[in-house]
Amino acid sequence: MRRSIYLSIIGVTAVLGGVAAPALAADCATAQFSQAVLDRFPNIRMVCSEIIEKDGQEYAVVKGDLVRTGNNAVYMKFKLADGTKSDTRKIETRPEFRVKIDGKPVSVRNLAVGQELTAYVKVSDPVIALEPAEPSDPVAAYPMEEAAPAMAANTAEMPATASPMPAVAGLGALLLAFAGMLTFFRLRRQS
Amino acid sequence: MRWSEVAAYIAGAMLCSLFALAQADSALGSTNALEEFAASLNPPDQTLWAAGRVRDYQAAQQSPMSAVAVLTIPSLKLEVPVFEHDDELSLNRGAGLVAGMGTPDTGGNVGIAGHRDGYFRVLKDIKVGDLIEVRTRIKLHRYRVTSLDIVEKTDSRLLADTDEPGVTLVTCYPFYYLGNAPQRFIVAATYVWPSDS
Repeated sequence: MRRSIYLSIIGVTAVLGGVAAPALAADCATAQFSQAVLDRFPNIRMVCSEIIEKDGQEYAVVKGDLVRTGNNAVYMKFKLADGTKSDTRKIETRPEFRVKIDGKPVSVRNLAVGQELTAYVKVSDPVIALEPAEPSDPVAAYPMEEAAPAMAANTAEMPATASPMPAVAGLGALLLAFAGMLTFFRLRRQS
Repeated sequence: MRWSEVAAYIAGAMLCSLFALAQADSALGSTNALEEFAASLNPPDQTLWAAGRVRDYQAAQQSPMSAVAVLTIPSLKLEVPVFEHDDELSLNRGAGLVAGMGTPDTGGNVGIAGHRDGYFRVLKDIKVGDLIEVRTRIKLHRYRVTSLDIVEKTDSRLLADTDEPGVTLVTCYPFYYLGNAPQRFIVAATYVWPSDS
């Protein structure tokens, strides 16, 4: 009798444990990142702050600073556990996609360099997404790029920073002085 | 009075008046742009406004002569509006973003040009390590001066894009020179991350 009670308790515990297990996400150290994720993001465990589950998928949460925006993408440097920052990573997105900045929803087109953003890296696939402003919003993940962003081609030329106004004033003063000299000599001749 | 005398008086007076007008436009335009920018950071409650009035207000914010940012260098006591373009009118009233370079909010190497005989003359006293602040409608960006260079006016290498955000101030050199100065004075500064400061 006692043995059957023990077996029942063990069985119930096992069943409950089995049901509960999928809801408990792994932590950053034990998450089973796929080889493709580790290839593209070797220091993912160092930048990962927690593992969350969304829409039945596990994501590593990474936080970092926005270093550049443009052309349907943002570029971020993630914070490593030792206080340093990762290399620059590109995250594709849409201009109208909304993220949360200081607790307020802001569209990507209105982001600015220096703002802190949160992104999700899927544990099983090499895709990355910005954290949506609302928890109920779907995660829009895009393939993770290995390389840092290509910089824009330099098309800038040295601007013309010389104002013509000092020359205008100088010429005006010279003309007035010349006119004054003419007046002086004319009056002297007449007297 | 002979005609040459009269012509010299008229031409001289006109040129001096033009200079005085430009000086007045510089002072008034800069002050107005700074005031408008400050007001735009705290937009008025428009809930009772007519739709047309709201559209006019928004259009006014995006007018070419509205400042897109304010540049401040505390050590030089410089505060100047930054306009979207580096044309003559913009540079007379403040500083202008250099075409083909980054902007403070989007990152990269942000170019800001100014007249060496106007607002940017104080750059002659800037030092490595000085703080540069650029306030946009979205965010206050801080940069730390890392280098000062004098280059030929055709040498645009220092305007090249950068992976890290930074700002490059450009003005003519020598600072005291009548006519088109042959060189450029370049102030390079790198971004000060809020999380690092």
